[in-house]
Amino acid sequence: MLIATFFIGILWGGIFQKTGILRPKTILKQLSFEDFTMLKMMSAAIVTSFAILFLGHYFFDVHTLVKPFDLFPNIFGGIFMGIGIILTGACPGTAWAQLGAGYKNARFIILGGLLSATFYGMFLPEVEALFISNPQEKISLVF
Amino acid sequence: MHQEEKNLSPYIGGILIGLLQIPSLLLFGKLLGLSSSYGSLSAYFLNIFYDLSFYPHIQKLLTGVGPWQLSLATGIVVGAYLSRKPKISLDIDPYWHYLGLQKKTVYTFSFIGGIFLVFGARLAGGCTSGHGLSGIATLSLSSFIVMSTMFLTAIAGFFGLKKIFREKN
Repeated sequence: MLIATFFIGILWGGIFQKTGILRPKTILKQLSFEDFTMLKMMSAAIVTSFAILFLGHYFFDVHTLVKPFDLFPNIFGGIFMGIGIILTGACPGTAWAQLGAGYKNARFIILGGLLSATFYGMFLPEVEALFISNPQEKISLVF
Repeated sequence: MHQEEKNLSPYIGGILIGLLQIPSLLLFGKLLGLSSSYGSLSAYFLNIFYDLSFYPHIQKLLTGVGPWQLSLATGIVVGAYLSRKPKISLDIDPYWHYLGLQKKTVYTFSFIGGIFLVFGARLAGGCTSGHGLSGIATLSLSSFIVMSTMFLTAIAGFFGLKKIFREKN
């Protein structure tokens, strides 16, 4: 199982590399609307995923795949990720690809990310008290 | 030193990534996502030194979705490494120099940014792939909120960063 996902990851990393989406330049230039690679790619991927889910609606209980909704964690998580994207020129996923592509600063992104994940796990009750408000419901606009 | 040509159209690349949802769904019954990989790797690391039963939320990442996303992430590292153009050594993206940032500044920014990135992703319950790709495709309300706040913050913040550093140099 994990070997199969490893191969999915290899394909994914290859696509990241070949489309150039992993470059900080591509990501940052999307933010200043000079390069629309990221938008094109994400739209294509979302539409394809949606089509797959739509077709597989009978085989997969799509509602279990819906992300839990909680307003404050969603908003603050989005804001923190936005700050992270500007500072690193990467998303959590493309940071791994940048590491593989040989960008030296990606090591620091991963290092910071691991530190952050560790502290998040250690202080989760405190973080929850700060941000998480309501029981997490799975709200989807359609499914 | 930095080649500009693109080999794969972003539309094709996006469709291919979307198609990767099929094996992911069939094998694991889950949509693609990557933000748990950090938590999982740190859990494996901590597991060597500490008894993790004090931290059930870290221990949880040793099984289930954690190792699965970690193997995806490892695959991405290997895939990006294998498909990179040989003989090109990348220190940092030249675009950072264009923005007027020095190497050391980029390293510091990367470290701080990594902390923000993963903290935000864990808090929001997904990253650009988990929420942006899979979450939006299931039309989750949370994903729309996360993606809009994320890109609004990033667009506004990058505008500010560009202004500060481009004008200073």
